[in-house]
Amino acid sequence: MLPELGQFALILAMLLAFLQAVFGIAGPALKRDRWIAATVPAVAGQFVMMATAVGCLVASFVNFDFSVRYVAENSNSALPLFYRVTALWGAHEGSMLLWTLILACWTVAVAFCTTRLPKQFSARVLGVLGFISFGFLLFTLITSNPFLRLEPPAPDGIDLNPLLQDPGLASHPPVLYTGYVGLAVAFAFACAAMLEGRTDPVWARWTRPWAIGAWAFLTCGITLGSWWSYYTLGWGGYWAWDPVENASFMPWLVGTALIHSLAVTEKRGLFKSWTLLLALVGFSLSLIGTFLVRSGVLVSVHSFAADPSRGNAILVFLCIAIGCALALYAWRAPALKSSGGFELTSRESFLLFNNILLVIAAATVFAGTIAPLIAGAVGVGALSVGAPYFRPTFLLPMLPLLALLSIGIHANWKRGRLSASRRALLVTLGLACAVALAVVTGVYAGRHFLAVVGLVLGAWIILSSAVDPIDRVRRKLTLSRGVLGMTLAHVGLGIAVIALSVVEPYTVERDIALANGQSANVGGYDFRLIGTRDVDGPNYSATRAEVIVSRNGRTITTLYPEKREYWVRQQEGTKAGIKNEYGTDLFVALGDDLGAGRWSMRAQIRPMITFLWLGPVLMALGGFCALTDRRYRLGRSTAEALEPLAAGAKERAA
Amino acid sequence: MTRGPRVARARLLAAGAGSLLALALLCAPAYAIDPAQMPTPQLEARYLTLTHEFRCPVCQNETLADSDEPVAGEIRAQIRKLLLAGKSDREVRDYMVSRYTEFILFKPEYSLRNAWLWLAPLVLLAIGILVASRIIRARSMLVDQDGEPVDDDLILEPEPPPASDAIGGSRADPIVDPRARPAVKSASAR
Repeated sequence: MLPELGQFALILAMLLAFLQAVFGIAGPALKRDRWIAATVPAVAGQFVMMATAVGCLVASFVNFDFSVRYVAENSNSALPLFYRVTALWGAHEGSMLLWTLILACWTVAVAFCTTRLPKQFSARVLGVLGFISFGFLLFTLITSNPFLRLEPPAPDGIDLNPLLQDPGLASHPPVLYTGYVGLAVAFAFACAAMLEGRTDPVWARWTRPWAIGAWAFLTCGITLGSWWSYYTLGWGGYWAWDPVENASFMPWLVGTALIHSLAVTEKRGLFKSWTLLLALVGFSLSLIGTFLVRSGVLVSVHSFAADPSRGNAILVFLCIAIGCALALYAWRAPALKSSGGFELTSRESFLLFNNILLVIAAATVFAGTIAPLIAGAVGVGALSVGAPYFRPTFLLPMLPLLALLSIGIHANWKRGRLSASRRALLVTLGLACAVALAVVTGVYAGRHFLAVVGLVLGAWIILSSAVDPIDRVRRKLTLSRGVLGMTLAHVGLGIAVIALSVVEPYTVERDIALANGQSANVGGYDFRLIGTRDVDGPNYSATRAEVIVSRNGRTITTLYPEKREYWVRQQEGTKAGIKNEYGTDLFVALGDDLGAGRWSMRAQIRPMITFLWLGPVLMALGGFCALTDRRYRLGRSTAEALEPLAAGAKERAA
Repeated sequence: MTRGPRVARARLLAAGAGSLLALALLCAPAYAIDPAQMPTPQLEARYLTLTHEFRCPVCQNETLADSDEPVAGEIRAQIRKLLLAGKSDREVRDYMVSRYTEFILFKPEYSLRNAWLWLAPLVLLAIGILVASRIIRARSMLVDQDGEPVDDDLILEPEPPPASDAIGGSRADPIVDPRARPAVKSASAR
């Protein structure tokens, strides 16, 4: 009964999304106030229906309803409750459901927070979101219905993929999707602005918090994924430039460009058409990413939902959505002009460099990701593109970006007066060089050119962005949330750059073979295998090793890496033993039984890896902090701001 | 086309056919932990670099170093043998390409065929520099013409004055009235 109810709710949600799209887009165009007024109830109804549908599927999972195909394929009677709930998005159908539920949540948030905006405008935003939601729900119902029944019902399920039976599944996909889908809001704001024929600083101010929020969630989601991939063997470590990873990274790069470009549009009324384009491209890239990953046209270690038969449907939707948006853009963008000027050393220039370099980085990642497709289509033979291509080509725009960042945050709007900050810049650069040299020569053996460059740039970013806020605090001036958030995010970036510069060259990784009582030295640490024993989990049996890690005879920790055999799918899984010591990870994974009590093992020493997660977390926190800036609170000030705007619009029309 | 891509494609097709268990097995990257060591650290470093640059020909985007497939193990052993026989990295690469086509290289060769891929970042950077310089040249001519007040106050202004600041490009009053700001502030303080 419940699955049918769920399916019914899903169909209703789709119909409501359709109404929301029609009322939201046609209402303002035809000047029908009632249609405009009907969008918000449609949003609310769609949300309730989506929540009902998801609730029904969760209930089917929790109640072991193996007559539902999706439940039978992705759970089992022995699967713990926690994973029965998260199994909801463990495969394609359910993750589409999660995607649309999150879109419904964002839409409700938009409806709730834009009540003070002009009715027409918010109706258009909701209309565009409704269109996206309708497309995805239609796709879900036609090609990926999670509520289909099995006849006869399966006696038991074939279990959730063991690789996904991990706490990472609970956090990474929902947060990442929140980021992806959040970009849809920026996309909708851009479309609404173009439908309205109005993109001005006020529009930028309305859009900024949504773009920043989406970006912060995307940052968190990618970091969680990177962390999960790091401790899961076989996924290529924390970053492997895999197509699935790139698919999330491209929207992030463009989203980062967008939040910086929005700052210029809000402050100076410049870069209007560029900002619009970034908002469109950001979400388009998340759609393209979905297509590449779900359709199976690109092969990835992280694909759990590839099905070529669904690729075409996504491609059609993608073309319609992106095509409409770009057509709208082609129609409106030429009319957007601005007369503001700025000098070479002004903040606008530096933000322009930021945008150009970030877009180049995104384009490079895009080129490398789709190159195998192009080679296949042109018929010049198979081509593979991996980390050895992405690493150098990504650094090409990134290194100048990091260097310019430290200078750019000291530049003023319009007229650059860097001479005033010259001393601060030189002092911080000197300090950064000193730190880098100290780290490279003192702490870690082996000098790597890129490590030095990265350490200097990272340290310079941190020091340079801290100068102004510290100065203001010392002078007992207030620090706006926006500036605080920006500083946090830049410091986080600096930390991530430093961590990356240390992790990459100074990681020690070795595969060893140990018998009971034997030890091996890896990177100055002794790994001693004490013994192995068999343990049983709820749905797997495992061999658990006991490995004592010591340094210079002093015991640091005991690690318990496991090698699991999941019963239902008869699939192996590993759980690494990881101990963090002052930011350095000591990592052991259990390999194979080599016979005669010997086991193969992988030992890793990864210095500063903790900061590789901490940096992006700080960046995201900075984003969330900037969101709460009072200038985004739509109070009286917005109403006041609107008056001259309306006058300006009339003036332009005249 | 030789066997590498064909096998990979066949696997994809198998996945497409929808056999659930096949899909599950396909998606299980069992991990190679291979304690065999090369005799010298130099050889070991070269071996690791090479195995990370090659793709396991039958896996889902896994490097040769990471893959647990028997085929990958065989190729790794072959690479070891070649390195121990004193072959250069170049020779090992050529040998691998001759056997498995360029599909096996995660680092596409610097060839005419791949020129667009390798040159793309450089070309983009050149275009970027050109575009930036043109925009800045055009905009710096406008600095003195447009009468907008210079807004140095992003950092200094705790609460931007709502009306004048929000309008930006279409500001009506070109000259900053020194009395305007305190007035706004006192208004917001109230």
